[in-house]
Amino acid sequence: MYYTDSDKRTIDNCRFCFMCRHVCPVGMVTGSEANNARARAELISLVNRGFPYTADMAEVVYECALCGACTTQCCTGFDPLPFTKHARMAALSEGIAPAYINELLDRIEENGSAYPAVDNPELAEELASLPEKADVLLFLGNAAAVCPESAVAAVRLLKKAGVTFAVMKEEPDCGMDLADLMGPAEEARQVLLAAAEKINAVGTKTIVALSPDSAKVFLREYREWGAPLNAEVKTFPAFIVELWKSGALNFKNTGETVTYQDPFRLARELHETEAPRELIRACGNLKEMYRHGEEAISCGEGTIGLYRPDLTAKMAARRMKDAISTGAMTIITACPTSCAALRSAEGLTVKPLEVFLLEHTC
Amino acid sequence: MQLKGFMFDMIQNELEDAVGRENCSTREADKLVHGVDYYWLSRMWADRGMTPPEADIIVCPKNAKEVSSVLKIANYYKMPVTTWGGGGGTQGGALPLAGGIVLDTKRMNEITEFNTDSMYMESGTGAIHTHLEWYANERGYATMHYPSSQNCSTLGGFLAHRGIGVVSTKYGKIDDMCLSMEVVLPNGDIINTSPVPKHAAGPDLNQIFIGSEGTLGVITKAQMRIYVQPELRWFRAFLFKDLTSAFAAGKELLTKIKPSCMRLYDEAETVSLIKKIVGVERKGAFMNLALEGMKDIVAVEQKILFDTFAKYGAEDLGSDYGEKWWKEKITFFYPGHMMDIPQMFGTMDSVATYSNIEKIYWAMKEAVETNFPMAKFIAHFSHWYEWGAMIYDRFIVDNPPQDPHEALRLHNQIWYTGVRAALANGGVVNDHHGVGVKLGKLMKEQYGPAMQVMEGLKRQLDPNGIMNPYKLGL
Repeated sequence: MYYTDSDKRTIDNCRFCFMCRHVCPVGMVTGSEANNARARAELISLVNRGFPYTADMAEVVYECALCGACTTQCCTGFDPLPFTKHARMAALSEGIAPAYINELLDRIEENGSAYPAVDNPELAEELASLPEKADVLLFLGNAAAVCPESAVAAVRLLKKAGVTFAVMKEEPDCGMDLADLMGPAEEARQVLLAAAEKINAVGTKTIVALSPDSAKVFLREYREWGAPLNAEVKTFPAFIVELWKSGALNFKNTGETVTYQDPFRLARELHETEAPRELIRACGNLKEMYRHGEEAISCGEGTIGLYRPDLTAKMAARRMKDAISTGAMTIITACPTSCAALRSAEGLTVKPLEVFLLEHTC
Repeated sequence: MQLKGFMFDMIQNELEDAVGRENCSTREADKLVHGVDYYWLSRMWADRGMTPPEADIIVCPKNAKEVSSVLKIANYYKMPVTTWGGGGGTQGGALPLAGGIVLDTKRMNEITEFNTDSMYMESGTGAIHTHLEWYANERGYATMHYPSSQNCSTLGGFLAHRGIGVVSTKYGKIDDMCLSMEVVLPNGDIINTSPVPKHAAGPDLNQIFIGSEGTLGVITKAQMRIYVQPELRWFRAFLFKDLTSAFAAGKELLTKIKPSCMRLYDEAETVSLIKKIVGVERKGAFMNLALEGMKDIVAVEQKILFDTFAKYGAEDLGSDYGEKWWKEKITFFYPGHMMDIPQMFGTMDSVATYSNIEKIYWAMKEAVETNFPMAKFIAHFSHWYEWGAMIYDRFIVDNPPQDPHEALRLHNQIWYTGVRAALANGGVVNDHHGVGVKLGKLMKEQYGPAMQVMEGLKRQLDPNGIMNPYKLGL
């Protein structure tokens, strides 16, 4: 009852196929046979054949970072993410989800978000002068809580470019984490509907999503789940590229050698790999990691860091080694949770793209 | 022994002490995923909703020292130990058929040395092979070991069953690429084989453990050759009038030069391949090959190739097929591109001298098609030596029995029949997929009294018989 026909077809094709194990960032750091798409498919296929859906199977299902590397890698085009999300929905419905998931969901229900309340005077000062309504809405998303310096820099960049924009005083949770945790459950859909209503009430023409998590859920889930936004959604790097190319922003190239970590939501789910690179190349010398762009290996960003910080720390440490091997001194990220994850690892200086760009404006 | 209750907890605690609690699992989910590998029978078993073979506990050691501790514990309690790499094997070699411990090697994945002076890299054997290739490529080198399973299998898995890749004719099998190894013996002793593979210091220890499929110990680290990337990799396809002329041409070519890749297809496969290339069905024997290395040398080899093949009436079909095949050489391993359940299938690869190889093809084809009319038989020959070639022959049954016991019986019958036909004509039990549980019983039929050499090693090194029971016929 939880799985669509498409899920079942994917499950039965993935269950005996080991060909994407080499790109699973969780499997890379745990070495566990259970941490790959094949294992999840095998387990769910057995459940579909009468095996009980057990709590430890549900644990395996939540050990996935939903980074989509397996989907990108699949030559045939199978996407293991939908059945993984449906397996999460089934686990919650059957009361076998891990305790840490239930605790996280309780926290989200209580606070309206998985993140602590934002208490950053610098950001508050930057936001104080902004109008309540404008044609452009900067949606801060989890950046405000997870990486406030990127939010501050983003606001300053837009001001520097002369953009008239608003930031919601009571910004709703975008719902990306809930969608990851619950799958397409009705409770998650209601959160998206409520958020869409609040955002639409601003009456903006363009939403600039600072966090790739927000951009992804706005562009992919909202319409699909019956909660359309009445505005065009753009990612922050794409919007800045427009401003730069229109002459509203100018950057000086200092020749600094940096590398760039593609967030999986931006690179794989929204296929946006060039905009950040264009901007970075305008400011410095970009040295790519061996696996980059849509093939980038996740550093543990996204929702998994909220409930399995141990896995995120391991993925970040592994990815940091890739970054170090480029010879760069700084790693640029375009995602608040990537920034936080990589900063948990020893190695290069980790800098949000917005901060890097602001430093290079002229 | 009783592996439940109090005593099980005691043993579990010892294993946790050896490898860390987080690296020991009794989760049902972990047991289930270690109970299905790439073996058709294990897949069929799961497909029919049957309980896969299960270990009692999964341990994931980080290095030889931890493996040593695990094996000492296992020996004390006489618990079976089945070593698991990527589970990409087709012979059931990694299935924990006797329960006990699954020793998953994938945490032993550190690359500890990349030596361009002596052209090798040293790695833990739990490394996924594609990760080794990435590492080498990033530094401008290559492993030149490209089996279809490179994404899913570990270095140790390839060593354990004597794997091979598509450019083997020039660069060799995995056993040709290994310089030295660290091995943990069943009693827990950590040993190193000779520092180099070529010597006169007695028998080659590498070749005792390579291919031993976890029955004689656990290979924990290996030094593997690396290669410079070729300036040019050049493909060419040809159509011969039949297998006989293709073999004669291939054999002569191998006396002069070494292509990296040589793939000859039987008539059944040729008909469909040729249609894709020239648009019409044509009979014959299709061969795709690659020459590679320095451009100037490849140019000389191209002339030798054309001159040699012209003598045997080969029709030149150009380079397009080969270039496309190279780009997509592992695509066929993905779902939707190859055989899968509900079909029953198997690859009964063997290897033999040129005097015998074509005989083996016809004998296996006849044995399978005569005894099992529901089975299709196709073959190609994809690894060539100066003395002979390997046959990659496959049977396919579109509608096998639904009953798992009947399906298992039919599968084994076809295998026994096909492999016995190979053995009767100078072939071997297997070329590069190994033996596992699938072909263990046929080992004695191939080796006869020579099997006592392997049995003697097994008795001496593993007197309690804990290492990978029911595999390799040991």
